Amino acid sequence: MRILVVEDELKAAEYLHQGLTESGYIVDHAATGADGLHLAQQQAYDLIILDVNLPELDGWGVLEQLRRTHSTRVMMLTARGRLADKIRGLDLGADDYLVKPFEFPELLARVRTLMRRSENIPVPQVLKVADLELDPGRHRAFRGAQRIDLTTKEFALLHLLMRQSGEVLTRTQIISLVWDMNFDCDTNVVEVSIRRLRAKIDDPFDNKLIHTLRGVGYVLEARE
Amino acid sequence: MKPASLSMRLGLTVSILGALLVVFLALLAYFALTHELNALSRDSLQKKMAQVEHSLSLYVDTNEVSGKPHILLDQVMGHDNLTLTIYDRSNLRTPLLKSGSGLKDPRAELRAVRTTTEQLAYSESIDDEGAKFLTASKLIRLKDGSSVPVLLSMDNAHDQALLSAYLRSTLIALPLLLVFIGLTAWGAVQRGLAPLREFRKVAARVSTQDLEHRLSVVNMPQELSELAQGINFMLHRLDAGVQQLSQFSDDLAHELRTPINNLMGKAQVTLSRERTSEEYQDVLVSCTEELERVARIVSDMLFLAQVSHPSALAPFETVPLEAEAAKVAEMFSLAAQDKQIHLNVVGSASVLGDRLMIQRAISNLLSNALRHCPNGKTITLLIEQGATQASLLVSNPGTGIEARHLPHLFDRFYRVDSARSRSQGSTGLGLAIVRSIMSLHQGVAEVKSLPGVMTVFRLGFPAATPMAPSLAGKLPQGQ
Repeated sequence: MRILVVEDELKAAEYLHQGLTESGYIVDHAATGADGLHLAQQQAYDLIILDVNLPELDGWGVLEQLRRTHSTRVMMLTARGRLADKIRGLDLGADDYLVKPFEFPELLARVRTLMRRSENIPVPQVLKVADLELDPGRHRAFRGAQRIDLTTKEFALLHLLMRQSGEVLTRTQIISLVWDMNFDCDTNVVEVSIRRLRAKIDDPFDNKLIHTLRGVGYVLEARE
Repeated sequence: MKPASLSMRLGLTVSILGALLVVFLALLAYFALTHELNALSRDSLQKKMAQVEHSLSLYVDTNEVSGKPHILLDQVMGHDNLTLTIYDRSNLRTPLLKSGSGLKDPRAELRAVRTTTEQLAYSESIDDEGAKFLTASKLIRLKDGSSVPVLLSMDNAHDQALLSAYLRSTLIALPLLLVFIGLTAWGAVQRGLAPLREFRKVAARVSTQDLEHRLSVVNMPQELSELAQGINFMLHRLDAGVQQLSQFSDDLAHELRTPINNLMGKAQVTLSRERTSEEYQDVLVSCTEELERVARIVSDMLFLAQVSHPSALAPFETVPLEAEAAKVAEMFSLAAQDKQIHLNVVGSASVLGDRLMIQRAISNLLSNALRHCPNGKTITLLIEQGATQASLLVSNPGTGIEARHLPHLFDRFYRVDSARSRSQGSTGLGLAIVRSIMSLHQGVAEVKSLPGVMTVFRLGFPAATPMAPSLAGKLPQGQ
């Protein structure tokens, strides 16, 4: 999958390039709006990550001109978090809108979501990672043959981790998706919840599934 | 076109009004005088006519009148302006008797003679030279029963001279008076508006760097002194606002310098020699944590800026406080269980507001309470629906806050114990955000603390459905 990053700040472009390449994408980079627009019109990209603050032609201009001929998915990056700016971006035809400073795993998660939008993978009825099974319909979890009792929030957290298995989830994402709090709360609720979940599904077993990526977040996956 | 100056306009207006007044009074005086002089003339003519009538009644017939006119002529003797003319009705060509010059206009005289009746009648006429005459006419009976028309004319030259002298003096005085009134009004306005120059001077000196200047209100006319006080008050508020802003930028720079300093130091120390990859990882993790704090300060700042410009916000909806409090409490419940703290949500109330912001305010208060509540105690979230206000109180037992800190507690970056709270990852903006959210909801954020016993934070929202206090009092509480 091919991604075009249009970003004039060299450092930002560098880490976006590295991070996305390491996640398995082919990444091109343009440093100005005009170059970005030219590349986007010449090549077929699956996604364009577009900064708003660009020299010469800014992100709005690029998006406007691109939308006349192409329907490539576009994610806008901006330092402006005002509602009016977001609305403007989405009105111009942006598919997503991310405000700086953002956490890289969140960007990655959004990129995946945008990519998935076209693929339409059906979500399986029962989620399974290694010998851990989760049945959302009947609200049950098993590790091997052993049934595990979970509270509602623990179940929601495990469901999220298993749905996004192999992807890193940050604290902010988890709070937003499990507790439905869309702002930065000053609480260790995620740490405590993960600890409790681990005590139920990991501690009694040899094969640990929940992993901490220090300074980034948590991931649930089978590591041999 | 440049608008005329205020003093010029007022001067002109007053002059015109003054001129109108003087002209009006002069005309009034002129007509009153004319009328009065006329009345006087008629009065004297009437008296003279009575004398003539008496004298004529002694004559036998018209021949005697023309024969012995002396008695009659004596009547008008000594009155330069009086003319007595007596006609014979059978011969209107030549008068029986005529004293003085008489009317210069024979036609007017004839007309007067022809229309003479036994009633005393007056007529006015102007002769060729422009002299004005008042003529009294009457038919007077002689002894033989025949009656003769008698005209008694009065030359009004004196009265005319008087009136024209009056008019002349008025016309000469009028422009002088006008100029005098205009200049006086102009001067008075100039003097009265002189303090405006002071206003201009102060306005020219004021800038955001220099808001110290104030207007002196001594000796200022009342209207201007009220304005000056208003301006002084505005300058005072601006001064306070600008000082707060500059203090705030100072604080912000300081707040950001600390983590940036830490990051730079840590990176430089790490790079100073070769290390194992585990060590690099440790440094990166600690840098990420520090950066998260910086990012949080920045997004809190952005949030505060957004709240103070509420135009871009979503419209308010009805928010049940108990549901939001329960939701936030649930999120914090795990952290509370860690400290064996019990979270207790009591009561219910509905307010108009932004759900996300209310959640955020409650969350900030609760995390604050949790940080300061001793292990094993209870934090209470009490929701009350009052007649005019709905309030949410978050109270926790603990060491409390000293009274001297209370007034500053909602200020940005204010910390009671700076070292401790900063190390716990606090941005110092939590309570400032609470206050901004409450002022956006036209509510209040308050704190009361009894050191060593209890600290209570209160959010007061205006009631969701404003209703008459008498009606509200009858409704059951906590609906």
